[in-house]
Amino acid sequence: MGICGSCGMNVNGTPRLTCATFLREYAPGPIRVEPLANFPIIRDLVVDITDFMEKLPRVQPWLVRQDETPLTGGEYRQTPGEMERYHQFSLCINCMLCYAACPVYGLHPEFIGPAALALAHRYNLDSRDQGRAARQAEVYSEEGIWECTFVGQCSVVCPKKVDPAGAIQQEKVSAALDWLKSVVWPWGNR
Amino acid sequence: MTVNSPPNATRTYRPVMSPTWWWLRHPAWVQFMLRELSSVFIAAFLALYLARLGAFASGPAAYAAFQAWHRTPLSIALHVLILAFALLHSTTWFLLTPKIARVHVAGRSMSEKAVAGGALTAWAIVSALVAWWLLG
Repeated sequence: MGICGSCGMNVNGTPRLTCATFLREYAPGPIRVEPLANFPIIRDLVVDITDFMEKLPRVQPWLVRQDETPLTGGEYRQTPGEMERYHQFSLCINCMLCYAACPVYGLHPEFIGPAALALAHRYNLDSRDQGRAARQAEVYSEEGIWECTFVGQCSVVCPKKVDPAGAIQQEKVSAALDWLKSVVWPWGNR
Repeated sequence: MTVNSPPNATRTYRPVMSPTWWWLRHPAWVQFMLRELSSVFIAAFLALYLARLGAFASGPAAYAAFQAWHRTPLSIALHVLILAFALLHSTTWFLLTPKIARVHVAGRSMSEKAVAGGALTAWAIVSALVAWWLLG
């Protein structure tokens, strides 16, 4: 329960995983169940999530390497401390409650969105990853982190406590520092 | 049927979100808009402060007139509003600080409550010191 992310719906105006939403929480009622907000409604409570499925691969949510070591070199090793840095952001179950809670996504559907950006952040923080520059064009774009106005509701509704709002603001800090470095030290290597 | 294939129905319905009044639909969005609106009152206070400096530079008569306006009920009401929004602005700022700044102490990250609590405490202490210096 609370792991497949398929049952997202708006319950009394708030995006919830309905498998973890009990009638007793809303007693004596009434209770209003609507399709997950901000997605085109196909029928009844079924929404079209194609937009998210298209956006997710754009941020390259996988380990990107500049130099691949051969298999004989063994695994890319990581300390528990290095894993802890990104662990929280790896818990996303792609339930899209964050997209339903985000007014920016509702008003501007071109926004890449909280979950995709949180996953980009997860890989940017991964010590085994070398792909931050590769993700830059999508993540640090107008439709990426800069569209976010830090409403913060995405993190409030997230059932796995991923904190996508935090992820996006931390990426904004990284992007700003990158820009500062490029101005102050333009000949430096990334 | 693969995951990425489009639905058979070619028509979907997208409820309209009002570009002007969307924020009234959820209490959390109202709070967000109030938080953003607080910046306007901070800017208003800064404008008044610059006007005060300008009046001060213009001489005693101008400054006395400026002070006189500040004693009117309108000015007092405006400043109460500015204070309320300034408190909202600063409180929400420090409560959001742990989301932006991950603080690591002795290899472990500090909890959000600890970071926010620390920031709010530091703000209270500095405010008390400034108040004591200005009013004491």
